[in-house]
Amino acid sequence: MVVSMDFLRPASLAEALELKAANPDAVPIAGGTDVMVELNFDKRRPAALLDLGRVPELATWRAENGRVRLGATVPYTRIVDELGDVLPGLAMAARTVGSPQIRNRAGVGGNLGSASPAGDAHPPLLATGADVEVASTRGTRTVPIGEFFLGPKRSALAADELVTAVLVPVAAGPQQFAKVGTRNAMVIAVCSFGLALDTTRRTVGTGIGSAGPVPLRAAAAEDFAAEVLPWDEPAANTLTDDTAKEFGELVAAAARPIDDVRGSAAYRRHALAVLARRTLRWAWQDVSGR
Amino acid sequence: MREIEQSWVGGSRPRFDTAGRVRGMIAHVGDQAVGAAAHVAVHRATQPHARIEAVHVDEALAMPGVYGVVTGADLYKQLGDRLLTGPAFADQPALAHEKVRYVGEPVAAVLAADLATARAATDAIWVDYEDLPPVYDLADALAGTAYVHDELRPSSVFGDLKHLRGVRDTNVNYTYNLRTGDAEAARDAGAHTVTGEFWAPPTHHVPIELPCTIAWVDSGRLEMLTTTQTPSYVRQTIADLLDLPLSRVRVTTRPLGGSFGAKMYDRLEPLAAALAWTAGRRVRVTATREEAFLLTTRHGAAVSSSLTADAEGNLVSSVADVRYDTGAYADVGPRITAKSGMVAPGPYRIANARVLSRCVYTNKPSAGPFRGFGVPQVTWSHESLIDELAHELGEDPYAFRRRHLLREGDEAPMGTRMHSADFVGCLDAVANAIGWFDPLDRGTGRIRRGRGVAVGVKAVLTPTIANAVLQLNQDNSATLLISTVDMGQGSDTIMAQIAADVLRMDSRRIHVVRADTDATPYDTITAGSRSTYHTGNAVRRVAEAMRDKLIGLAAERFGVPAEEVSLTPDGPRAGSHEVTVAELVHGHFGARGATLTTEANYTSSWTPYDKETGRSDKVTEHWFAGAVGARIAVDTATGRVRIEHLAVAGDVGRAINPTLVEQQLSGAAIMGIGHALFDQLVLDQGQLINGTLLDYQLPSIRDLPDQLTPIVVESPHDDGPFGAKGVGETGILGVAPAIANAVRDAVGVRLTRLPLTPESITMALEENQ
Ligand SMILES: Cc1cc2nc3c(=O)[nH]c(=O)nc-3n(C[C@H](O)[C@H](O)[C@H](O)COP(=O)(O)OP(=O)(O)OC[C@H]3O[C@@H](n4cnc5c(N)ncnc54)[C@H](O)[C@@H]3O)c2cc1C
Repeated sequence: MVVSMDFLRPASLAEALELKAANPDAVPIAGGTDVMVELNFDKRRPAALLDLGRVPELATWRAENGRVRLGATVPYTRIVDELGDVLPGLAMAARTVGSPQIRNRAGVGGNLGSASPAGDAHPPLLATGADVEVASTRGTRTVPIGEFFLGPKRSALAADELVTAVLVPVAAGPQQFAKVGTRNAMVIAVCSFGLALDTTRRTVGTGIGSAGPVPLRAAAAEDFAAEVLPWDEPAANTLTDDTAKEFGELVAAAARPIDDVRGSAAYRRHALAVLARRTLRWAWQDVSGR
Repeated sequence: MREIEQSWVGGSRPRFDTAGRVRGMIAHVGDQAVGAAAHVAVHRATQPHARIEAVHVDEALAMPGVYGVVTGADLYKQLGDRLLTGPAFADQPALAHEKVRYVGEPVAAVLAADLATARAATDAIWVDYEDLPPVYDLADALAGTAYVHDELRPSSVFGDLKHLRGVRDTNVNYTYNLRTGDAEAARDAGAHTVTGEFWAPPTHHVPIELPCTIAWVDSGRLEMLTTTQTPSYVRQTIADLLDLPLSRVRVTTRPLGGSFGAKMYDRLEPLAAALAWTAGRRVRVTATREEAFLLTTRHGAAVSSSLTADAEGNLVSSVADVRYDTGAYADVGPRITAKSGMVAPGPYRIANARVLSRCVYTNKPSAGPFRGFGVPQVTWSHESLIDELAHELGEDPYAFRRRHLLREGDEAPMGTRMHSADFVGCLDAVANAIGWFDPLDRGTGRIRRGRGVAVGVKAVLTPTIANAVLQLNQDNSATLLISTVDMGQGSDTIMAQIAADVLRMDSRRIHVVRADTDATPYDTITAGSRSTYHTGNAVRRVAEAMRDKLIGLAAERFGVPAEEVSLTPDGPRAGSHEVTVAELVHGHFGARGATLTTEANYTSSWTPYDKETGRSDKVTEHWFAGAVGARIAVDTATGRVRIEHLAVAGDVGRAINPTLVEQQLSGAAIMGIGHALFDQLVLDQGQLINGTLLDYQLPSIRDLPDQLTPIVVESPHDDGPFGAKGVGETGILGVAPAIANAVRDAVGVRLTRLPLTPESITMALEENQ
């Protein structure tokens, strides 16, 4: 018995949206680095795959109105190579994804499509307050990243919709990303943390990965840091140990981790506090170096 | 060195198959065209311990492309108790019969036109189970209320377990006792005792190549091509299973893409043979990566142990209670239990030693051979204990070990003397390499540095048998027939070097024939680091016999006594007489292309250990001695360990090919890093929950030490070929304790459970505060 599966290959975004509307069960496939794993493990047997690989509109990025409009299928390798200066947090996260082969194929659209709490693109998108642009034959809408994730592997995407892009504000200050894994490469995060400072508006953005049912922001930590950071005297030594420590604790408190095969909830909280503390120091050093 | 000498013993000639392996030009078993065959997929048990009430196969049978579905009951009808196989106990059926004993055990096999169909059909099979109380772990097993097997059934392979036939109401299938002196009394009287509860988790081998077996019936013979390290064993097993004379079973192999013990004894072969024989079809059985995790594992082991020194710091007592979790089927667990249990005190002079080592059944995937054969698990205990004892006594852990290490001629606690086991030389080498005697920047902030060393000792598999047949071709090239399997370790290359050295010829002109039981002679197994010594000796002897033959022919031709003839790279010589080998053989046969044949055997012997004391004056043919040194940095905030320098030394007697020895030491060390830092099979209520390469963590390129130094130590063995011994396992023995000892040195915490995850280090640091 050979299982058959339709392979739909739209050549434009309009065609892709029409196909998706006509075949809401069709599974979009971008880099395929999540989809193929699921198919190989026989976790699902979709009737059709919708290949996004030939849709040119999804494969480009451009700067517009102080934001980068990053197409859903731009691979991580290009994010690392081309966007390191404007989207440093996302580029740092991209650098930690999988291996070179995975980074050549995979991109942010697929990360969002999978909506895994462990997706490495999510913390920097949360920290920068990005919007997700989604489209269907009904039209286009933007979903604030904080409203995109509904639960583990569940998102705000409707059955006929595709992610077309993410709209990420151009960095207005230092950004950081850090991840703890069970080894040094090719690893799903035990927990991860993204941080974005906006030195103009004097705000702090955060994103927590792998430590809750969805990627999370640490709002209390953000408010605390925005208030107490000595924005007027940005020297490395103006960030006190107490501030860094409290920031770390507030981030850890915002997490809602569970025990699993990669680590316990307690260790995740502990490690998040460390990552938050450390990234704040690094970022603040950058502020003072500017 | 002349080029030809580079191809002899001591030369680092490249292995003959490197390019082919790297470029994928070497065809492995799974790459072979199979022709018309039934592809086999297996329906696996969902319960850890249950009686099989019924297996429903009708829906699967009705699927287009399905040729047949076979259950354990079907096979039992044809084969009876012969269905149960295994090297120690005949306890494992090719397909579960009456009971399932672990989640993932094969219950029914689908034969179909293609693999996708076979796999799809396994989902259409369902089984009615009556659950039995599960034995999830060592504690459950030793509590002794539920039993994985009703009674012990010693197999006919290992002859020494007969006395266990019919033993009931236990999950302990084998017990080894070592009693030297009175260890408990010496411990109680001793001045300083350290104790520990050590745990080394089950792990998987993860060779790159997946297992695959193709079996067919040809002229009433069962033939197979399979991924095995043990072709001679498999031939015997299949002959027993099908009740055939050995001459009607043929087992052939291809080069393996790694194995590390995963492709030994009874893997896919009994199932493939039983299906091919009963269905009368060619069958191809393979395993997915996820299934391969279930086929065999490394024994998880718990060791409760102590080490005692008197007031002068002399070691006076070693006590260890070792429990190997062998899973649902014993495989080679009883051997591991004895041979590794007996080195639980470590390579030290200790007057009194007591070891209780037990092999325990549980409802888990079976554990079998794995590089190191159970020794890394006890090394984890003794190298942690002696380190801690040194700390307690305020002594340098390196110097403290050195003072107590066994020297040449010393008797180890189990009664056998040391020869060609230079522990001191290995320890000195790694200590020097990692800068043990230099000042260390220990760090004051978040990052703390430390250094650790560990020593390992292992016996070679004994007794074993090796045979070799050599055909010298008239053109002075040769064909060597042995049943050693080259799985990447380079055996084909070094065997050619040994023969060529004896025959003063270029080893690149020697072809080593792949194991094929129709053609290559019996060889116990390719395992336990035994081949360089055992098969190497058979190869040395077969080449010496050939040299004698050539010299005899030359003496005849020259008209001089044989003693006056010598063999040189240019041919036999005697005074002014000279002839090339090609001319000599041509002259002898009067034909081009003729071959001269010799054969030879090498068999090692042992004195079985005493059942009461566990002692023997010759428990092994020889010893492996190794040491590891590690310099590491611990991030005290996250608990992550970074290995700055790892040095690994092994006494190989004599390196036949120094480059290949270094590769074995380095490869073993890298595998050991995984076992130290993250490798482990996680089971929850009998269910393997990280059995995919997404979840199961092996060292990646970024987890390698900043510096990795393999060190070849040579103290020649009197009876080794050119003084040589093997090296496949030596490098892995001490890696985990060396790293843990370095963590102890860096941050002052002693961890006794592997792996040393960042989490476990962080938690230990917190408790320490
Ligand atoms: C070996 C390996 C290592 C990995 N390591 C990491 C890692 O370190 N960090 C990490 O975050 N992830 C990792 N992943 C997971 C994966 O690479 C990422 O989630 C990646 O971002 C997925 O992108 P993709 O283009 O390959 O998605 P695909 O597999 O093509 O798609 C993923 C999901 O998104 C849906 N989808 C794709 N595009 C769209 C779209 N435009 N609109 C709507 N839905 C869409 C698909 O239907 C599917 O459900 C790893 C995967 C592998 C196999």
